Amino acid sequence: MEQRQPAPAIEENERLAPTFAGIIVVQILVIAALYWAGRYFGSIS
Amino acid sequence: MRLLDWIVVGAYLAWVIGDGLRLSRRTNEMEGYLLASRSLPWWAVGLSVMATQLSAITMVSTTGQGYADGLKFVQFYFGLPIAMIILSVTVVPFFWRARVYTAYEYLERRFDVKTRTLTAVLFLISRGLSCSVIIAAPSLILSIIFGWNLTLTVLAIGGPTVIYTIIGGVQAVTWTDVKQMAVVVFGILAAVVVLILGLPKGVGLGSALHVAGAVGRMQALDFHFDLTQKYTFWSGMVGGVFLFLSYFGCDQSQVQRYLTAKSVQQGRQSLFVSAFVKIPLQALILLTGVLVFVFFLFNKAPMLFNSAPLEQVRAGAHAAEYQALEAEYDRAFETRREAATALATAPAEATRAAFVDADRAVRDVRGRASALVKTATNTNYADVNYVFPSFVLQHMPVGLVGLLIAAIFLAAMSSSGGELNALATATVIDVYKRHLKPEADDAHYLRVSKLATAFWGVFACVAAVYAVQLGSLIEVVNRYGSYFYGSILGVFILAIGVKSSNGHGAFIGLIGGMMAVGLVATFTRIEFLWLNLVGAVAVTVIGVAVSAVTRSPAR
Repeated sequence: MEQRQPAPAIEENERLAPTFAGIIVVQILVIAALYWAGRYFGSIS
Repeated sequence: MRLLDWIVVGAYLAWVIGDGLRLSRRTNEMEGYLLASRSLPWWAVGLSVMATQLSAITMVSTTGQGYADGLKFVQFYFGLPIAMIILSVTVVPFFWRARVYTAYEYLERRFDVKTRTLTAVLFLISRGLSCSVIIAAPSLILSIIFGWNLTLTVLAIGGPTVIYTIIGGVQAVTWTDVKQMAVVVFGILAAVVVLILGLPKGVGLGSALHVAGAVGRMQALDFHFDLTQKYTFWSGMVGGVFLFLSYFGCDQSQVQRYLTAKSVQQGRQSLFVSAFVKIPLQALILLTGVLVFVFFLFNKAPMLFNSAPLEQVRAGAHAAEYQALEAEYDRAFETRREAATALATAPAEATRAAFVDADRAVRDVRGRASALVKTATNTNYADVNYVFPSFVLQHMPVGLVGLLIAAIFLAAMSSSGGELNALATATVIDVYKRHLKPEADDAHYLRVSKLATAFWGVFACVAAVYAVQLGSLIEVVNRYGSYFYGSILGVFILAIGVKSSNGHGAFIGLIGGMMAVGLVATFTRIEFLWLNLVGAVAVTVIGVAVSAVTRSPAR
Protein backbone atom coordinates (compact mmCIF):
# COMPACT_ATOMS: atom_id res chain seq x y z
CA MET A 1 0.00 0.00 0.00
CA GLU A 2 1.29 3.46 -0.93
CA GLN A 3 2.51 5.48 2.06
CA ARG A 4 0.44 8.63 2.44
CA GLN A 5 1.73 11.98 3.57
CA PRO A 6 0.90 12.55 7.27
CA ALA A 7 -1.15 15.50 8.50
CA PRO A 8 1.15 18.54 8.59
CA ALA A 9 2.16 20.24 11.80
CA ILE A 10 0.81 23.76 12.29
CA GLU A 11 3.80 25.99 12.86
CA GLU A 12 3.96 28.65 15.53
CA ASN A 13 4.90 31.97 14.04
CA GLU A 14 5.30 34.77 16.55
CA ARG A 15 5.92 37.32 13.80
CA LEU A 16 2.29 37.00 12.74
CA ALA A 17 0.88 37.83 16.19
CA PRO A 18 0.87 41.64 15.71
CA THR A 19 -0.90 41.28 12.34
CA PHE A 20 -3.54 39.00 13.86
CA ALA A 21 -4.03 41.45 16.72
CA GLY A 22 -4.38 44.27 14.16
CA ILE A 23 -7.01 42.35 12.19
CA ILE A 24 -9.04 41.62 15.34
CA VAL A 25 -8.78 45.23 16.56
CA VAL A 26 -9.90 46.59 13.16
CA GLN A 27 -12.83 44.16 13.12
CA ILE A 28 -13.90 45.16 16.63
CA LEU A 29 -13.65 48.85 15.71
CA VAL A 30 -15.69 48.36 12.51
CA ILE A 31 -18.41 46.40 14.34
CA ALA A 32 -18.44 49.03 17.11
CA ALA A 33 -18.77 51.79 14.48
CA LEU A 34 -21.67 49.96 12.82
CA TYR A 35 -23.34 49.47 16.21
CA TRP A 36 -22.89 53.16 17.02
CA ALA A 37 -24.23 54.19 13.57
CA GLY A 38 -27.34 52.06 14.11
CA ARG A 39 -27.97 53.58 17.55
CA TYR A 40 -27.10 57.17 16.63
CA PHE A 41 -28.87 57.47 13.27
CA GLY A 42 -31.77 55.31 14.39
CA SER A 43 -32.74 57.78 17.09
CA ILE A 44 -33.87 61.39 17.07
CA SER A 45 -30.87 63.67 17.49
CA MET B 1 -25.41 56.80 -22.35
CA ARG B 2 -23.65 59.45 -24.41
CA LEU B 3 -20.84 58.94 -26.91
CA LEU B 4 -18.18 59.97 -24.36
CA ASP B 5 -19.40 57.25 -21.98
CA TRP B 6 -19.14 54.60 -24.70
CA ILE B 7 -15.63 55.81 -25.52
CA VAL B 8 -14.73 55.50 -21.81
CA VAL B 9 -16.18 51.94 -21.71
CA GLY B 10 -14.29 50.86 -24.85
CA ALA B 11 -10.99 52.53 -23.94
CA TYR B 12 -11.08 51.27 -20.37
CA LEU B 13 -11.81 47.66 -21.32
CA ALA B 14 -9.14 47.72 -24.07
CA TRP B 15 -6.51 49.20 -21.71
CA VAL B 16 -7.23 46.83 -18.81
CA ILE B 17 -7.23 43.70 -20.95
CA GLY B 18 -4.32 44.82 -23.16
CA ASP B 19 -2.16 45.77 -20.19
CA GLY B 20 -3.03 42.53 -18.41
CA LEU B 21 -1.74 40.57 -21.40
CA ARG B 22 1.35 42.80 -21.70
CA LEU B 23 2.33 42.13 -18.08
CA SER B 24 2.00 38.34 -18.48
CA ARG B 25 5.40 36.58 -18.43
CA ARG B 26 6.50 33.02 -19.30
CA THR B 27 3.01 31.93 -20.27
CA ASN B 28 4.55 29.34 -22.62
CA GLU B 29 5.24 27.12 -19.56
CA MET B 30 2.67 25.36 -17.39
CA GLU B 31 3.89 26.92 -14.14
CA GLY B 32 3.98 30.37 -15.71
CA TYR B 33 0.54 29.96 -17.31
CA LEU B 34 -1.28 28.47 -14.31
CA LEU B 35 0.74 29.77 -11.32
CA ALA B 36 2.56 32.85 -12.70
CA SER B 37 5.82 30.99 -11.91
CA ARG B 38 4.99 31.78 -8.24
CA SER B 39 6.25 35.32 -8.79
CA LEU B 40 3.45 37.79 -8.01
CA PRO B 41 3.62 40.41 -5.23
CA TRP B 42 1.25 40.11 -2.25
CA TRP B 43 -0.70 43.28 -2.99
CA ALA B 44 -1.54 42.15 -6.55
CA VAL B 45 -2.58 38.69 -5.31
CA GLY B 46 -4.57 40.27 -2.45
CA LEU B 47 -6.51 42.55 -4.81
CA SER B 48 -7.07 39.60 -7.17
CA VAL B 49 -8.50 37.53 -4.28
CA MET B 50 -10.95 40.36 -3.57
CA ALA B 51 -11.81 40.99 -7.22
CA THR B 52 -12.55 37.31 -7.89
CA GLN B 53 -15.11 37.43 -5.09
CA LEU B 54 -16.50 40.85 -6.04
CA SER B 55 -18.51 40.06 -9.16
CA ALA B 56 -20.77 42.37 -11.16
CA ILE B 57 -23.78 41.04 -9.30
CA THR B 58 -22.11 42.12 -6.04
CA MET B 59 -21.94 45.68 -7.34
CA VAL B 60 -25.56 45.91 -8.46
CA SER B 61 -27.13 43.49 -5.98
CA THR B 62 -25.33 44.72 -2.83
CA THR B 63 -26.19 48.35 -3.55
CA GLY B 64 -29.76 47.16 -4.23
CA GLN B 65 -29.78 45.39 -0.85
CA GLY B 66 -28.54 48.59 0.80
CA TYR B 67 -31.41 50.45 -0.89
CA ALA B 68 -34.07 47.95 0.21
CA ASP B 69 -32.78 46.58 3.55
CA GLY B 70 -29.99 48.88 4.71
CA LEU B 71 -26.69 47.71 6.16
CA LYS B 72 -27.77 44.27 7.52
CA PHE B 73 -26.04 42.26 4.79
CA VAL B 74 -22.61 43.37 6.10
CA GLN B 75 -23.01 40.75 8.88
CA PHE B 76 -22.54 38.06 6.20
CA TYR B 77 -18.82 39.01 6.11
CA PHE B 78 -18.13 39.06 9.87
CA GLY B 79 -16.49 35.62 9.83
CA LEU B 80 -14.07 36.51 7.02
CA PRO B 81 -11.18 38.06 9.03
CA ILE B 82 -11.13 35.11 11.46
CA ALA B 83 -11.19 32.66 8.56
CA MET B 84 -8.23 34.48 6.99
CA ILE B 85 -6.20 34.23 10.21
CA ILE B 86 -6.84 30.47 10.42
CA LEU B 87 -6.02 29.93 6.72
CA SER B 88 -2.79 31.92 6.94
CA VAL B 89 -1.31 29.42 9.43
CA THR B 90 -2.82 26.28 7.87
CA VAL B 91 -3.56 25.83 4.18
CA VAL B 92 -1.45 28.70 2.83
CA PRO B 93 1.90 27.27 4.07
CA PHE B 94 0.80 23.66 3.45
CA PHE B 95 -0.31 24.18 -0.15
CA TRP B 96 2.51 26.55 -1.03
CA ARG B 97 5.29 24.31 0.33
CA ALA B 98 3.71 21.17 -1.16
CA ARG B 99 4.28 22.81 -4.61
CA VAL B 100 0.82 21.74 -5.76
CA TYR B 101 -1.18 23.27 -8.60
CA THR B 102 -4.56 22.57 -7.00
CA ALA B 103 -5.95 22.14 -3.49
CA TYR B 104 -7.30 18.72 -4.52
CA GLU B 105 -3.84 17.49 -5.58
CA TYR B 106 -2.86 17.86 -1.92
CA LEU B 107 -5.72 15.53 -0.89
CA GLU B 108 -4.23 12.64 -2.86
CA ARG B 109 -0.90 13.06 -1.10
CA ARG B 110 -2.67 13.05 2.26
CA PHE B 111 -5.47 10.55 1.52
CA ASP B 112 -6.09 8.85 -1.83
CA VAL B 113 -7.02 9.39 -5.46
CA LYS B 114 -10.77 8.85 -4.99
CA THR B 115 -11.03 11.65 -2.39
CA ARG B 116 -9.03 13.97 -4.64
CA THR B 117 -11.13 13.18 -7.70
CA LEU B 118 -14.49 13.53 -5.93
CA THR B 119 -13.63 16.96 -4.47
CA ALA B 120 -12.22 18.12 -7.82
CA VAL B 121 -15.35 16.99 -9.67
CA LEU B 122 -17.60 18.71 -7.09
CA PHE B 123 -15.57 21.88 -7.64
CA LEU B 124 -15.86 21.58 -11.44
CA ILE B 125 -19.65 21.10 -11.34
CA SER B 126 -20.41 23.82 -8.79
CA ARG B 127 -17.94 26.40 -10.15
CA GLY B 128 -18.81 25.66 -13.79
CA LEU B 129 -22.46 26.47 -13.03
CA SER B 130 -21.67 29.44 -10.80
CA CYS B 131 -19.42 30.87 -13.54
CA SER B 132 -22.44 30.85 -15.84
CA VAL B 133 -24.48 32.68 -13.19
CA ILE B 134 -21.70 35.28 -12.80
CA ILE B 135 -22.05 36.01 -16.53
CA ALA B 136 -25.85 35.57 -16.72
CA ALA B 137 -26.95 37.91 -13.93
CA PRO B 138 -25.24 41.14 -15.13
CA SER B 139 -25.98 40.22 -18.78
CA LEU B 140 -29.70 40.15 -18.00
CA ILE B 141 -29.57 43.51 -16.20
CA LEU B 142 -27.45 45.23 -18.87
CA SER B 143 -29.54 43.78 -21.71
CA ILE B 144 -32.74 45.14 -20.13
CA ILE B 145 -31.25 48.56 -19.33
CA PHE B 146 -29.77 49.08 -22.79
CA GLY B 147 -32.37 47.07 -24.73
CA TRP B 148 -29.71 44.71 -26.07
CA ASN B 149 -30.11 41.15 -27.25
CA LEU B 150 -29.40 38.85 -24.29
CA THR B 151 -27.23 36.33 -26.15
CA LEU B 152 -25.08 39.12 -27.58
CA THR B 153 -24.69 40.64 -24.09
CA VAL B 154 -23.55 37.26 -22.73
CA LEU B 155 -21.05 37.05 -25.60
CA ALA B 156 -19.89 40.67 -25.02
CA ILE B 157 -18.94 39.71 -21.44
CA GLY B 158 -17.91 36.08 -21.96
CA GLY B 159 -16.08 36.42 -25.30
CA PRO B 160 -13.26 38.82 -24.31
CA THR B 161 -12.92 37.04 -20.94
CA VAL B 162 -12.33 33.68 -22.58
CA ILE B 163 -9.84 35.17 -25.04
CA TYR B 164 -7.64 37.03 -22.53
CA THR B 165 -7.76 34.10 -20.08
CA ILE B 166 -6.68 31.67 -22.83
CA ILE B 167 -3.82 33.93 -23.94
CA GLY B 168 -2.49 35.30 -20.64
CA GLY B 169 -3.51 32.64 -18.11
CA VAL B 170 -3.52 33.48 -14.42
CA GLN B 171 -1.29 36.55 -14.86
CA ALA B 172 -3.68 38.29 -17.26
CA VAL B 173 -6.49 37.47 -14.81
CA THR B 174 -4.56 38.87 -11.83
CA TRP B 175 -3.45 42.15 -13.44
CA THR B 176 -6.97 42.70 -14.79
CA ASP B 177 -8.29 42.13 -11.25
CA VAL B 178 -5.90 44.72 -9.78
CA LYS B 179 -7.19 47.49 -12.05
CA GLN B 180 -10.74 46.28 -11.55
CA MET B 181 -10.54 46.74 -7.79
CA ALA B 182 -9.07 50.24 -8.16
CA VAL B 183 -11.86 51.31 -10.52
CA VAL B 184 -14.63 49.75 -8.40
CA VAL B 185 -13.47 51.66 -5.31
CA PHE B 186 -13.05 54.89 -7.29
CA GLY B 187 -16.46 54.43 -8.96
CA ILE B 188 -18.25 53.76 -5.66
CA LEU B 189 -16.60 56.80 -4.03
CA ALA B 190 -17.57 58.94 -7.03
CA ALA B 191 -21.17 57.71 -6.71
CA VAL B 192 -21.13 58.60 -2.98
CA VAL B 193 -19.96 62.14 -3.80
CA VAL B 194 -22.67 62.57 -6.47
CA LEU B 195 -25.30 61.22 -4.05
CA ILE B 196 -24.26 63.64 -1.29
CA LEU B 197 -24.19 66.57 -3.73
CA GLY B 198 -27.66 65.53 -4.93
CA LEU B 199 -29.24 66.09 -1.51
CA PRO B 200 -31.55 69.12 -1.36
CA LYS B 201 -30.35 72.41 0.06
CA GLY B 202 -30.51 72.42 3.84
CA VAL B 203 -30.27 68.62 4.11
CA GLY B 204 -26.76 67.56 5.12
CA LEU B 205 -25.30 64.05 5.16
CA GLY B 206 -25.99 63.64 8.89
CA SER B 207 -29.67 64.61 8.51
CA ALA B 208 -29.97 62.31 5.46
CA LEU B 209 -28.62 59.35 7.44
CA HIS B 210 -31.02 60.15 10.30
CA VAL B 211 -33.87 59.95 7.78
CA ALA B 212 -32.54 56.57 6.55
CA GLY B 213 -32.15 55.46 10.18
CA ALA B 214 -35.78 56.26 10.92
CA VAL B 215 -36.83 53.39 8.64
CA GLY B 216 -34.12 50.98 9.85
CA ARG B 217 -31.65 51.41 6.97
CA MET B 218 -28.72 52.20 9.33
CA GLN B 219 -29.36 49.18 11.57
CA ALA B 220 -26.47 46.85 10.65
CA LEU B 221 -26.44 44.47 13.61
CA ASP B 222 -28.97 41.87 14.69
CA PHE B 223 -27.89 40.01 17.83
CA HIS B 224 -30.88 37.62 17.93
CA PHE B 225 -29.76 34.00 17.86
CA ASP B 226 -32.22 32.61 15.32
CA LEU B 227 -31.17 29.83 12.95
CA THR B 228 -34.01 30.71 10.56
CA GLN B 229 -32.83 34.32 10.09
CA LYS B 230 -30.57 34.73 7.06
CA TYR B 231 -28.25 37.51 8.29
CA THR B 232 -27.56 37.89 12.00
CA PHE B 233 -24.41 38.66 13.96
CA TRP B 234 -24.18 34.98 14.93
CA SER B 235 -24.82 33.48 11.48
CA GLY B 236 -22.06 35.75 10.15
CA MET B 237 -19.59 35.11 12.97
CA VAL B 238 -20.10 31.32 13.14
CA GLY B 239 -21.63 30.12 9.85
CA GLY B 240 -19.64 32.78 7.98
CA VAL B 241 -16.30 31.54 9.37
CA PHE B 242 -17.02 28.06 7.98
CA LEU B 243 -18.22 29.45 4.64
CA PHE B 244 -15.10 31.60 4.18
CA LEU B 245 -12.75 28.88 5.43
CA SER B 246 -14.21 26.69 2.71
CA TYR B 247 -14.33 29.34 0.00
CA PHE B 248 -10.83 30.76 0.53
CA GLY B 249 -9.19 27.53 1.73
CA CYS B 250 -10.68 24.77 -0.41
CA ASP B 251 -12.02 26.43 -3.57
CA GLN B 252 -9.50 26.35 -6.40
CA SER B 253 -10.64 29.73 -7.76
CA GLN B 254 -9.24 31.31 -4.55
CA VAL B 255 -6.46 28.85 -3.68
CA GLN B 256 -4.90 29.39 -7.11
CA ARG B 257 -4.60 33.11 -6.35
CA TYR B 258 -2.29 32.72 -3.36
CA LEU B 259 -0.33 29.88 -4.97
CA THR B 260 0.90 32.53 -7.43
CA ALA B 261 2.53 34.55 -4.61
CA LYS B 262 6.32 34.90 -4.40
CA SER B 263 6.58 33.22 -0.97
CA VAL B 264 4.53 31.75 1.85
CA GLN B 265 4.72 35.08 3.66
CA GLN B 266 3.46 36.96 0.58
CA GLY B 267 0.66 34.40 0.18
CA ARG B 268 -0.38 35.11 3.77
CA GLN B 269 -0.20 38.86 3.28
CA SER B 270 -2.45 38.56 0.23
CA LEU B 271 -5.20 37.13 2.48
CA PHE B 272 -4.63 39.84 5.08
CA VAL B 273 -5.67 42.42 2.46
CA SER B 274 -9.18 40.93 2.53
CA ALA B 275 -9.05 40.49 6.31
CA PHE B 276 -8.50 44.23 6.79
CA VAL B 277 -10.46 45.68 3.88
CA LYS B 278 -13.40 43.41 3.04
CA ILE B 279 -15.87 44.41 5.79
CA PRO B 280 -15.26 48.19 5.45
CA LEU B 281 -15.55 47.88 1.64
CA GLN B 282 -18.84 45.95 1.84
CA ALA B 283 -20.14 48.45 4.39
CA LEU B 284 -19.24 51.26 1.96
CA ILE B 285 -21.06 49.53 -0.94
CA LEU B 286 -24.14 48.96 1.26
CA LEU B 287 -23.97 52.56 2.50
CA THR B 288 -23.97 53.65 -1.16
CA GLY B 289 -27.26 51.76 -1.53
CA VAL B 290 -28.61 53.51 1.58
CA LEU B 291 -27.61 56.88 0.08
CA VAL B 292 -29.38 55.93 -3.17
CA PHE B 293 -32.49 55.31 -1.03
CA VAL B 294 -32.11 58.77 0.54
CA PHE B 295 -31.41 60.35 -2.88
CA PHE B 296 -34.66 58.92 -4.24
CA LEU B 297 -36.59 60.29 -1.27
CA PHE B 298 -35.91 63.80 -2.55
CA ASN B 299 -35.52 63.12 -6.30
CA LYS B 300 -38.34 61.50 -8.26
CA ALA B 301 -37.85 57.78 -8.66
CA PRO B 302 -39.83 55.52 -10.97
CA MET B 303 -42.43 53.35 -9.25
CA LEU B 304 -40.56 50.25 -10.47
CA PHE B 305 -36.92 50.26 -11.60
CA ASN B 306 -36.98 47.19 -13.88
CA SER B 307 -38.85 48.69 -16.81
CA ALA B 308 -38.59 45.71 -19.19
CA PRO B 309 -42.05 44.16 -18.68
CA LEU B 310 -43.88 47.43 -17.99
CA GLU B 311 -44.88 48.11 -21.61
CA GLN B 312 -46.51 44.70 -21.73
CA VAL B 313 -48.45 45.53 -18.55
CA ARG B 314 -49.48 48.97 -19.81
CA ALA B 315 -50.79 47.44 -23.05
CA GLY B 316 -52.51 44.43 -21.45
CA ALA B 317 -55.65 43.65 -19.48
CA HIS B 318 -54.21 45.15 -16.28
CA ALA B 319 -53.42 48.57 -17.86
CA ALA B 320 -56.09 50.56 -15.98
CA GLU B 321 -55.16 48.97 -12.66
CA TYR B 322 -51.49 49.77 -13.23
CA GLN B 323 -52.26 53.36 -14.23
CA ALA B 324 -54.27 53.83 -11.02
CA LEU B 325 -51.32 52.51 -9.01
CA GLU B 326 -48.99 54.97 -10.76
CA ALA B 327 -51.26 57.87 -9.79
CA GLU B 328 -51.42 56.57 -6.19
CA TYR B 329 -47.60 56.23 -6.18
CA ASP B 330 -47.16 59.83 -7.38
CA ARG B 331 -49.28 61.09 -4.48
CA ALA B 332 -47.58 58.81 -1.93
CA PHE B 333 -44.14 59.85 -3.23
CA GLU B 334 -44.93 63.56 -2.82
CA THR B 335 -46.24 62.99 0.71
CA ARG B 336 -43.07 61.07 1.60
CA ARG B 337 -40.82 63.73 0.07
CA GLU B 338 -42.46 66.38 2.25
CA ALA B 339 -42.27 64.13 5.33
CA ALA B 340 -38.58 63.37 4.65
CA THR B 341 -37.80 67.09 4.29
CA ALA B 342 -39.67 67.84 7.52
CA LEU B 343 -37.77 65.09 9.39
CA ALA B 344 -34.40 66.20 7.98
CA THR B 345 -34.91 69.86 8.85
CA ALA B 346 -36.90 69.52 12.10
CA PRO B 347 -36.22 66.14 13.70
CA ALA B 348 -38.84 65.24 16.31
CA GLU B 349 -41.01 62.26 17.25
CA ALA B 350 -43.96 63.66 15.26
CA THR B 351 -42.04 64.27 12.01
CA ARG B 352 -40.34 60.88 12.38
CA ALA B 353 -43.70 59.09 12.80
CA ALA B 354 -45.12 60.96 9.78
CA PHE B 355 -42.14 59.93 7.64
CA VAL B 356 -42.32 56.27 8.75
CA ASP B 357 -46.02 56.20 7.78
CA ALA B 358 -45.34 57.90 4.44
CA ASP B 359 -42.53 55.46 3.64
CA ARG B 360 -44.80 52.53 4.49
CA ALA B 361 -47.40 53.88 2.06
CA VAL B 362 -44.81 54.11 -0.77
CA ARG B 363 -43.57 50.58 -0.04
CA ASP B 364 -47.14 49.33 -0.04
CA VAL B 365 -47.85 50.80 -3.50
CA ARG B 366 -44.54 49.48 -4.88
CA GLY B 367 -45.33 46.04 -3.46
CA ARG B 368 -48.77 45.97 -5.07
CA ALA B 369 -47.33 47.20 -8.38
CA SER B 370 -44.66 44.50 -8.29
CA ALA B 371 -47.28 41.82 -7.57
CA LEU B 372 -49.42 43.13 -10.43
CA VAL B 373 -46.49 42.89 -12.88
CA LYS B 374 -45.85 39.33 -11.69
CA THR B 375 -49.48 38.41 -12.34
CA ALA B 376 -49.72 40.25 -15.66
CA THR B 377 -46.50 38.84 -17.13
CA ASN B 378 -46.44 35.51 -15.26
CA THR B 379 -42.79 36.06 -14.38
CA ASN B 380 -40.71 36.12 -11.19
CA TYR B 381 -40.46 39.94 -11.32
CA ALA B 382 -37.90 41.69 -9.08
CA ASP B 383 -36.46 45.16 -9.40
CA VAL B 384 -33.95 45.64 -6.57
CA ASN B 385 -30.97 44.86 -8.84
CA TYR B 386 -31.98 47.68 -11.20
CA VAL B 387 -31.88 50.48 -8.63
CA PHE B 388 -28.14 51.27 -8.79
CA PRO B 389 -27.76 50.96 -12.61
CA SER B 390 -30.82 53.23 -13.00
CA PHE B 391 -29.25 55.82 -10.67
CA VAL B 392 -25.92 55.64 -12.52
CA LEU B 393 -27.46 56.06 -15.97
CA GLN B 394 -29.84 58.86 -15.02
CA HIS B 395 -27.95 60.88 -12.41
CA MET B 396 -24.17 60.38 -12.71
CA PRO B 397 -22.17 62.94 -14.78
CA VAL B 398 -21.11 62.06 -18.31
CA GLY B 399 -17.81 60.13 -18.33
CA LEU B 400 -18.38 58.66 -14.87
CA VAL B 401 -21.41 56.79 -16.25
CA GLY B 402 -19.08 55.10 -18.74
CA LEU B 403 -16.56 54.31 -16.02
CA LEU B 404 -19.16 52.71 -13.74
CA ILE B 405 -20.78 50.70 -16.54
CA ALA B 406 -17.27 49.56 -17.58
CA ALA B 407 -16.61 48.61 -13.94
CA ILE B 408 -19.79 46.47 -13.89
CA PHE B 409 -18.72 44.82 -17.16
CA LEU B 410 -15.20 44.20 -15.90
CA ALA B 411 -16.40 42.93 -12.51
CA ALA B 412 -18.23 40.16 -14.39
CA MET B 413 -15.21 39.57 -16.60
CA SER B 414 -12.60 39.45 -13.83
CA SER B 415 -14.66 37.12 -11.63
CA SER B 416 -15.46 34.73 -14.47
CA GLY B 417 -11.87 34.93 -15.81
CA GLY B 418 -10.49 33.82 -12.43
CA GLU B 419 -12.97 30.97 -12.32
CA LEU B 420 -12.29 29.85 -15.90
CA ASN B 421 -8.58 29.73 -15.12
CA ALA B 422 -9.22 27.66 -11.96
CA LEU B 423 -11.64 25.34 -13.78
CA ALA B 424 -9.05 24.73 -16.50
CA THR B 425 -6.35 24.03 -13.90
CA ALA B 426 -8.46 21.48 -11.99
CA THR B 427 -9.57 19.87 -15.28
CA VAL B 428 -6.01 19.42 -16.51
CA ILE B 429 -4.19 18.64 -13.24
CA ASP B 430 -6.82 16.60 -11.37
CA VAL B 431 -8.61 14.87 -14.25
CA TYR B 432 -6.65 14.89 -17.53
CA LYS B 433 -3.09 14.53 -16.24
CA ARG B 434 -4.05 12.28 -13.31
CA HIS B 435 -6.43 9.90 -15.10
CA LEU B 436 -6.18 10.26 -18.89
CA LYS B 437 -2.61 11.16 -19.93
CA PRO B 438 -0.10 11.06 -17.05
CA GLU B 439 3.04 11.14 -19.25
CA ALA B 440 3.29 14.06 -21.65
CA ASP B 441 5.48 17.10 -22.04
CA ASP B 442 4.85 20.59 -20.69
CA ALA B 443 3.81 21.96 -24.10
CA HIS B 444 1.08 19.32 -24.40
CA TYR B 445 -0.46 20.14 -21.00
CA LEU B 446 -0.25 23.83 -21.81
CA ARG B 447 -2.23 23.27 -25.02
CA VAL B 448 -4.80 21.20 -23.12
CA SER B 449 -5.03 23.94 -20.44
CA LYS B 450 -5.92 26.49 -23.13
CA LEU B 451 -8.45 24.10 -24.67
CA ALA B 452 -9.95 23.48 -21.21
CA THR B 453 -10.26 27.26 -20.66
CA ALA B 454 -12.05 27.55 -24.02
CA PHE B 455 -14.33 24.61 -23.15
CA TRP B 456 -15.37 26.07 -19.78
CA GLY B 457 -15.82 29.49 -21.38
CA VAL B 458 -18.20 28.12 -24.01
CA PHE B 459 -19.96 26.02 -21.34
CA ALA B 460 -20.41 29.07 -19.08
CA CYS B 461 -21.77 31.25 -21.92
CA VAL B 462 -24.23 28.60 -23.16
CA ALA B 463 -25.35 27.80 -19.59
CA ALA B 464 -25.66 31.56 -18.93
CA VAL B 465 -28.21 31.99 -21.74
CA TYR B 466 -30.26 29.04 -20.42
CA ALA B 467 -29.85 30.11 -16.77
CA VAL B 468 -31.46 33.44 -17.57
CA GLN B 469 -34.33 31.84 -19.47
CA LEU B 470 -35.03 29.42 -16.62
CA GLY B 471 -34.97 32.26 -14.08
CA SER B 472 -35.11 30.41 -10.79
CA LEU B 473 -32.15 28.22 -11.81
CA ILE B 474 -29.87 31.00 -10.59
CA GLU B 475 -31.27 30.63 -7.09
CA VAL B 476 -31.06 26.84 -7.29
CA VAL B 477 -27.40 26.97 -8.30
CA ASN B 478 -26.52 29.39 -5.50
CA ARG B 479 -28.31 27.27 -2.93
CA TYR B 480 -26.83 24.04 -4.31
CA GLY B 481 -23.33 25.50 -3.83
CA SER B 482 -23.87 25.73 -0.06
CA TYR B 483 -24.50 21.94 -0.04
CA PHE B 484 -20.86 21.41 -1.08
CA TYR B 485 -18.91 24.13 0.67
CA GLY B 486 -19.05 22.97 4.30
CA SER B 487 -18.61 19.32 3.32
CA ILE B 488 -15.47 20.00 1.27
CA LEU B 489 -14.13 22.04 4.19
CA GLY B 490 -14.73 18.99 6.39
CA VAL B 491 -12.39 16.93 4.16
CA PHE B 492 -9.63 19.52 4.58
CA ILE B 493 -10.23 19.63 8.36
CA LEU B 494 -9.68 15.86 8.40
CA ALA B 495 -6.55 16.24 6.22
CA ILE B 496 -4.93 18.97 8.30
CA GLY B 497 -6.44 18.66 11.76
CA VAL B 498 -7.07 14.95 12.34
CA LYS B 499 -3.87 12.89 12.15
CA SER B 500 -5.68 9.55 12.48
CA SER B 501 -8.02 10.11 9.51
CA ASN B 502 -7.58 8.14 6.30
CA GLY B 503 -8.81 8.14 2.71
CA HIS B 504 -11.85 5.93 3.33
CA GLY B 505 -12.91 8.16 6.22
CA ALA B 506 -12.52 11.32 4.14
CA PHE B 507 -14.36 9.88 1.10
CA ILE B 508 -17.30 8.39 3.01
CA GLY B 509 -17.35 11.43 5.32
CA LEU B 510 -17.68 13.73 2.29
CA ILE B 511 -20.62 11.80 0.87
CA GLY B 512 -22.24 11.54 4.32
CA GLY B 513 -21.71 15.25 4.96
CA MET B 514 -23.43 16.26 1.73
CA MET B 515 -26.35 13.93 2.54
CA ALA B 516 -26.59 15.48 6.04
CA VAL B 517 -26.68 18.98 4.55
CA GLY B 518 -29.30 17.86 2.01
CA LEU B 519 -31.50 16.47 4.81
CA VAL B 520 -31.13 19.56 7.01
CA ALA B 521 -31.83 21.89 4.06
CA THR B 522 -34.90 19.87 3.00
CA PHE B 523 -36.55 19.19 6.37
CA THR B 524 -35.68 22.26 8.47
CA ARG B 525 -35.87 26.03 8.02
CA ILE B 526 -32.24 26.57 8.99
CA GLU B 527 -30.71 29.32 6.86
CA PHE B 528 -27.94 28.55 4.37
CA LEU B 529 -24.96 30.05 6.26
CA TRP B 530 -25.45 27.45 9.01
CA LEU B 531 -25.39 24.63 6.41
CA ASN B 532 -21.64 25.21 6.05
CA LEU B 533 -21.22 24.41 9.75
CA VAL B 534 -23.49 21.35 9.44
CA GLY B 535 -21.49 20.01 6.46
CA ALA B 536 -18.08 20.55 8.05
CA VAL B 537 -19.07 18.95 11.37
CA ALA B 538 -20.86 16.00 9.71
CA VAL B 539 -17.88 15.19 7.47
CA THR B 540 -15.44 15.46 10.38
CA VAL B 541 -17.51 13.23 12.69
CA ILE B 542 -18.27 10.61 10.03
CA GLY B 543 -14.68 10.78 8.74
CA VAL B 544 -13.18 10.18 12.19
CA ALA B 545 -15.57 7.28 12.84
CA VAL B 546 -14.97 5.58 9.47
CA SER B 547 -11.20 6.11 9.78
CA ALA B 548 -11.22 4.42 13.17
CA VAL B 549 -13.15 1.42 11.81
CA THR B 550 -11.11 1.04 8.61
CA ARG B 551 -7.67 1.76 10.07
CA SER B 552 -5.08 -0.82 9.00
CA PRO B 553 -3.72 -2.78 12.02
CA ALA B 554 -0.20 -2.60 10.48
CA ARG B 555 -0.28 1.19 10.73
